[in-house]
Amino acid sequence: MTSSPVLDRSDPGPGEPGLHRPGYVAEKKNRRARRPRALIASAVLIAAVLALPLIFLLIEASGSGAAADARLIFRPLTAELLWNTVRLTVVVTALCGVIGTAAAWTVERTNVPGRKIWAVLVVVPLAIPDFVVSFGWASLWTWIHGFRGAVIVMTLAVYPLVYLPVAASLRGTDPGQEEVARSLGSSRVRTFVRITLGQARGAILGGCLLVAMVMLAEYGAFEIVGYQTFTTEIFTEINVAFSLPAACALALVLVLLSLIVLGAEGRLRGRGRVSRSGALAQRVSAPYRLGKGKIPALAGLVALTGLSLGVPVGSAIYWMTSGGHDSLTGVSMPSAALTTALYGLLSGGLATLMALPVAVLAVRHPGRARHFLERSTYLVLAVPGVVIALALSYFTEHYLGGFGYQTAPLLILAYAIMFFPLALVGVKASLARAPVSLDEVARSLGQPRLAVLLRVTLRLTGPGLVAAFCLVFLSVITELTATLILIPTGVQTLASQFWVYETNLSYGQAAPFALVMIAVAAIPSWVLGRFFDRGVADPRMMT
Amino acid sequence: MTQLAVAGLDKRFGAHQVLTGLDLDVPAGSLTAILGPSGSGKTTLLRVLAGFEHADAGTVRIGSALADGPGVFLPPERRRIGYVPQEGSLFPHLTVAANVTFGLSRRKWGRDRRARRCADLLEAVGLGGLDKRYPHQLSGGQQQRVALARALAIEPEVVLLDEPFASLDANLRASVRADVQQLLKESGTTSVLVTHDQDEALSTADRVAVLRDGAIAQCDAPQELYSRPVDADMARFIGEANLIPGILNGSSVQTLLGVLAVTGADAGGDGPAAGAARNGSEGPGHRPAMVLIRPEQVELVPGVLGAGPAVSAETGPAGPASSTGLTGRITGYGYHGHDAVVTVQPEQDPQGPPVTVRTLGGQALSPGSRVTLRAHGPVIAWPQRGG
Repeated sequence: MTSSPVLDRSDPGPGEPGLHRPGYVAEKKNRRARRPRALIASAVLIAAVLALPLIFLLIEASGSGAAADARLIFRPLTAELLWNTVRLTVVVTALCGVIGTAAAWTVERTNVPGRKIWAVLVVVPLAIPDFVVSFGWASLWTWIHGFRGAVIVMTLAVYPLVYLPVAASLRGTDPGQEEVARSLGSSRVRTFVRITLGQARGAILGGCLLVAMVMLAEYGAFEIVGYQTFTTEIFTEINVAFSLPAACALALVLVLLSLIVLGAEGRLRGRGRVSRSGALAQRVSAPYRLGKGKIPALAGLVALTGLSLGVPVGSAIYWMTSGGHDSLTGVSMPSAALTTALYGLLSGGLATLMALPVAVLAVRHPGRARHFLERSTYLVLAVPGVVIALALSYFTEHYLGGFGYQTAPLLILAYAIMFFPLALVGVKASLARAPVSLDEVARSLGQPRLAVLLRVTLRLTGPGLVAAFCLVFLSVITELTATLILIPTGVQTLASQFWVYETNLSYGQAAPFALVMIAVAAIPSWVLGRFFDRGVADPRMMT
Repeated sequence: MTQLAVAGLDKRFGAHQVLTGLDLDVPAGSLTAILGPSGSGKTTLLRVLAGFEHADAGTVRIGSALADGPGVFLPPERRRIGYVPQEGSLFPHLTVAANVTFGLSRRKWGRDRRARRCADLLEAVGLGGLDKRYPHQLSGGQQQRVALARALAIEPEVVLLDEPFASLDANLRASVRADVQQLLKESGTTSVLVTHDQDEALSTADRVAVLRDGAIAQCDAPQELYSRPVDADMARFIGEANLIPGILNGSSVQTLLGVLAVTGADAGGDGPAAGAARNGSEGPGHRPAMVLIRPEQVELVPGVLGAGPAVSAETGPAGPASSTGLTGRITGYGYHGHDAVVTVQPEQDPQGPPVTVRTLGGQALSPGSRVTLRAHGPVIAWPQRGG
């Protein structure tokens, strides 16, 4: 072997690894393909925990017998709830589809003044809890009530769920296709309908289905405007009537509805990928010149942000400054904030921890069974918070004799299950930043597994893991439904204390809590959105 | 001395058998290329060598140590393998210097020796002074050089390079390849280069191992591989080949292009034709064979010499060409500057495969014009059964 001054091999170096060390016992080896057993075991365990709510629901349903279930399900109330829920879901989804798409096109594709500012303002309402929007409107005007009230409030609260994917899609599609259509003699309008909307179709439908999922799970906003849906009725059965069997029967129907929506979403996502030619990838289409349409377009955006952002915030400020402080006593703001932060920290950590093995398995050890395991955890999306809370209540009552019911650990577990899909998306995104080839290189350079984890994997995935944690943390801050059912006695979070004041019509005392929740949720959401890239600013979008 | 020895290696993924009984010996200090089409299992082989995958059967020896075998598995960090993956895979959060010294323990090496080694290595790969940069501030070629420096830093037993030049553009590829080759030679490091690019394999490596159907079909010096492929498929895989039917008769073979000497037959060696001639079932002569004539073994002369042989049924497709050569018409002409590749359809066999000829670039030739071809032996011939 020749020797060069640079790569002198004669010096064995102090770093001589154990390759030639006599008596080195090599790792025992299994001749069959090696499986990450510990990972699979923990992922299966986590998938089982996530499935608990559905399992308890089914146990309860089968325990009470088919006849009893049928009696609880097939009654006039169910028909009324079904009509209410479906009617509202369809109307709000359609309205959000139109408003979200129109706003996205205006902001992304036209020369409307202030596009960059609008792009932020139009999204912010998503960070305001739906029940705060509802409170803002209903506390000012009594005609915000029933079906009409629910439609107005919910449309303004959730239209960004359509706006975001459509805006991303419009930004990403190939302007060349529109140009080709025009060159082939297609008129502006025809091109808009057939090409522009055609390209964004998948995004529009995907956004609409997210809206539908939210509509099925919402409680607080509907309660405030006095509109009855499955979720509000289940809540009443649990918390007021204390009738778990009735609640479970209704929950079955609700989960079925959610599954239908989730299934539809999955089908639509699988189909119709928008293709674009790679070479044109950097080209941005010239904005559509609005001309005289500039004024109405601007007026529309002003009205939209005014109604969705201005009214809730303005209303809260109004009540805080002018509403008299009633004698109603509750926990202080710092105390509620502390409790909320504690719950958020713990459940954010738990959810991220639970997501890790599932994500590692999905990203690094692909396989059909493991893929199925990962997908199965998305079933949680079809289980509204009220059902998760219900299932956990049922579990503690029937198997633990009430032990654990309304304790902090149970509530934290409920949060972790509820927001697991968010954490999973974040963790998976962070793992994508640390390709397995880097681990391999690190190991070939003589680093044992633990050192690789510390020096490479965690260093690269760290920011993403923190982001995943924050997504859950922020969601917990504004969670109301499960919180009201499972919160320990004598303790209040920001949302639950707000709720106590709100239901007692003590708006002056409720308003500061509303404002704090808006501030706490909106600002970090915006920062997080930037972190994840503009296209996926909303955490709920990334599932 | 063999630095890396693989014997009877099996590797399957589920029902898909990737490697079957693969044997490979890599001499110390050599640069061996593993050549195979994509999907042939090259990368799998490399990953088994590096310890990222476990072999299902067989043994891997690195230096004097058994790295993979029955009941034995040396984890990657114990193998002292310098691994250079396709995209370089530099650690994005570390500077160039931190990347290079990643495998050098601070405790064992000490700060000064570590820094000196890093500077020496960067100098050696031509990147002196870039130690404070981050990977994203480097070009693709620079990233590959850093990846190589990082692999060499740990004084590896063997360096494994997984298509390291594939992601570079054509101009850069040649220069980075040459630099890497020189550096590996100078340091005397045993290296294994995986590639699907036969030019790269033939021009860079001392030895080329062709991976086919999960095993090494042939492992030889580049010249050997080109001039004496083990079979017709190998001939087609390595370079351009005219595979023409012929009649083998002792140490010569009769083809459309005349009677040509057969390599190795006269020497009595174990050339394919000679071996077959010895145990030929039809006696010493007149066996159908497949003949390999490389394009540069065919000489092309514009026009027709003499009267030109009449195209007739008597001579037939495999009939002997006269000493005046084989006439044909040009059907394709690819000009490459230094040379040109011409395809010629023999007039004697208008339905048969065209003959590919490599000529010097100077001649002006146009499709449709008549030319005369003459071949120069010796050639390789494989006897065919029943053919």
